[in-house]
Amino acid sequence: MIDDRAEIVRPVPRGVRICAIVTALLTVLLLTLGGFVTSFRVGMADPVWPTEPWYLLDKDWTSLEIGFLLEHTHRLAGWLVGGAATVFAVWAWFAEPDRRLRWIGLGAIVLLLIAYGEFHRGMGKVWNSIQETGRAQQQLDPKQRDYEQRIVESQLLSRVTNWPVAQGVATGALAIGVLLISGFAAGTGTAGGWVRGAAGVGLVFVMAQGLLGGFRVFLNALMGTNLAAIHGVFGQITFATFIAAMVLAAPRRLNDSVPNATRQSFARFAMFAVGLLVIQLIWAVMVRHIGSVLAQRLHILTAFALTGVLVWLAVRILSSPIVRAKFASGAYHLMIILAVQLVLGVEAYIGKFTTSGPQAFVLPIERVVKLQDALTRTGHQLIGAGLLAATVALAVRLGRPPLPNSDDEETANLRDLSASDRDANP
Amino acid sequence: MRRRTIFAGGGTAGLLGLTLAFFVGGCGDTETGGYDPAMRFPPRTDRLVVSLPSVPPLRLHDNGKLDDAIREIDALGGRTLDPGTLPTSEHRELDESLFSLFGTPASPKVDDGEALGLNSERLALGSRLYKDKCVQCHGTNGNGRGPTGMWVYPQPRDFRLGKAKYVSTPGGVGRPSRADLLRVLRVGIAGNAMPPYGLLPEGDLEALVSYTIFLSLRGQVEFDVLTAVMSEDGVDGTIAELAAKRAKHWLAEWTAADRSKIVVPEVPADLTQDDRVRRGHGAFQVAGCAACHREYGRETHYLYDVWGVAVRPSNLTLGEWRGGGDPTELFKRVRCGIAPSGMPAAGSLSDADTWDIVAFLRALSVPRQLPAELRAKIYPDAK
Repeated sequence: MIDDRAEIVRPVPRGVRICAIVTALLTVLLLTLGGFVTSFRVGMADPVWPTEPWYLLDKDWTSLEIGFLLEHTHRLAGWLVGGAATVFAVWAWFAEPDRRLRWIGLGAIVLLLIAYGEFHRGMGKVWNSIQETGRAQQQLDPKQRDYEQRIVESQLLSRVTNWPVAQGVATGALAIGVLLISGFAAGTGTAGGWVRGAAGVGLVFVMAQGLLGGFRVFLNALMGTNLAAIHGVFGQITFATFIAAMVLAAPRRLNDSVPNATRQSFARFAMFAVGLLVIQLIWAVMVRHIGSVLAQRLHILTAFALTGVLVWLAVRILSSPIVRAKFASGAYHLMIILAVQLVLGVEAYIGKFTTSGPQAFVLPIERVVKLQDALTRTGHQLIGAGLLAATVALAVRLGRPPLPNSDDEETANLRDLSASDRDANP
Repeated sequence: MRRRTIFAGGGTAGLLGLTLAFFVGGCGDTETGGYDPAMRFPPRTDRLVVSLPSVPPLRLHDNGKLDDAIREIDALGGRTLDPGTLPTSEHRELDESLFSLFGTPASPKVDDGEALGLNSERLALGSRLYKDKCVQCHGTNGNGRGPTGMWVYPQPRDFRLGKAKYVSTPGGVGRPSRADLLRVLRVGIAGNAMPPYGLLPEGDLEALVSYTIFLSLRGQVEFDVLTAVMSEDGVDGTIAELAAKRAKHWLAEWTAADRSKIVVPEVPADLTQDDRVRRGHGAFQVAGCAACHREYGRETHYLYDVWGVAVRPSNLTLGEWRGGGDPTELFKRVRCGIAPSGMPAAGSLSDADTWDIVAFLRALSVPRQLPAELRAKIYPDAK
């Protein structure tokens, strides 16, 4: 007889799982710093991008202002998450049992990293080129014959900069390639295939997120805070991906899922809640970055709907004896996080939209942010990320098919695959 | 059946909520740039610096502590005024006068401002762009106290004194021309949080320049009226009359400054030659630059600028030029000064002497470009 709590299948080697956990934890740090950058509105504290990971090393930290420090520690945390996501993806793919697929996946990831590095370097040259052109433009003499022509020409980015087009196209193509291979891995049905899929997708997402953050600074003149808003949404989606990867990388136990007849309906409902959370996230980001009056209303309306959906999900879980036995703690956690989030939401709302004195004369988005306001807003954003993470984790766990009976041939195969993973990655 | 009814009811309620939200909230930005047409500029609440202490400050103010530092000025021998002590009736009268002269954030206006590019259309565009790109640092009324302003250093520029540091206008007043503001917008300010907006279309940049001048004009009128009302003599006539008079005065001053910008001569070809650098070193001493830039700026001491902020004369050996390090920009700094920070304009220097100083300044931060005897004198520890 097999103990219900005994691990019977380890989808990926223990190291890969540790990598997934470290990546998710570092992403929490990144989201926290990003949240403070937005709360204090210091995303443009340093208008220079790209910068290298060691950018802060030669600076005298005691003389740096808070905004600059926050922005650059956020960028540094981004590099750390990128590094952790790379190690996670490479290790996960190294554990792929199919040798041909393993080397294709690893090759695509390595090429993507090289192309991304070259694109980043190329953007550095573009930045310098734009600065030089801007300065040169100031020396133009209106009496010169071709003054007007040169002014017009200098506005055309293609004429004044050397965009790293080839590197960009290569990065895009390789990113799509990694996504396709990740999808293929997830569909192979091998143990850990889903983890490798999520690791590949997470790596591409974290790279895209880095570029979104960079272009938010680089294209500030043209895009203002619009790209910052997209960066804010995509950051949480990337975090959700790593959470999913972390859950998928966890060892499976016998009877850790619910029977097929029940689980599909629960999984669908949990996925619906995840979708609604993402929509809520979009409104939240628009309130924070753009100050949209429409988003303010939709954020509150969706909060009502979302509360209803999440409570309903929890009630359904708790009222089904089979599901309750496995997922009661998940449901309780969800409710606790939801309660904290609602309280923080009310506090954040009061802090942002109700004020007196001189600040009452300006729009909420233009008001001075005090430390306690920043703490509440960042806390609300972070607990929101926690709510998304908890719901994603629940959806992934609910959606996992039950392990076949231990005496079945299928379970034996899974065990063999798990063993082959261990052999490949002792 | 029951479940279907619940879903149908929930869906209908959701749709109704969405429709209501769109109806009440609208689609966001409109031609008013997201500002409520009824919204007015916030009144000035921070202290007005009327005179600075005669003793220099001992330290730079901390991040976000600008108003605390200004509050200390009275105790140090300077004089500030607190607009909060003004009676409500006079506040209201001032607000009405400013509203009548300058409109609202959604519909800014300046009478007779066309000569300076301050027409209503351009100002409205400028207001929209300013809200999108500048307000988070410079604040709704240009007070340099936007939400980001608290957390970056130096504190973003307060436009309400109508002065700027990097100008090409003579007289040592610090009134910028449109071209000066345009330049800062295009290339930003190296080494601080002011980003470059060179990627914006020319029309947008011009609109932003117009709106910056508009906020300056409005701030200057507000400052003048508040100072007059809070003075012992009080206002001669009504607040509205005084505001109109000051608006006309400052508009004329800005227009005159815009027309008076200096023409920088062609950059000499021998700017890096030792003889010119030597002459520049001599001129640097004779012109009195060393009085503030002690030890070529390496010795730390502080001065007040016109905003009541402690500033440090630049360390010229670092070669960090906030206003631009190219010869033409350095020529303007020497010739026109940095008036708000107390750096006088060397307007009496000849073009040749000015270029000599520029040559010396450019060589100063790169020891190998200095003649041997100057290098030994300025960098005695260098091998």
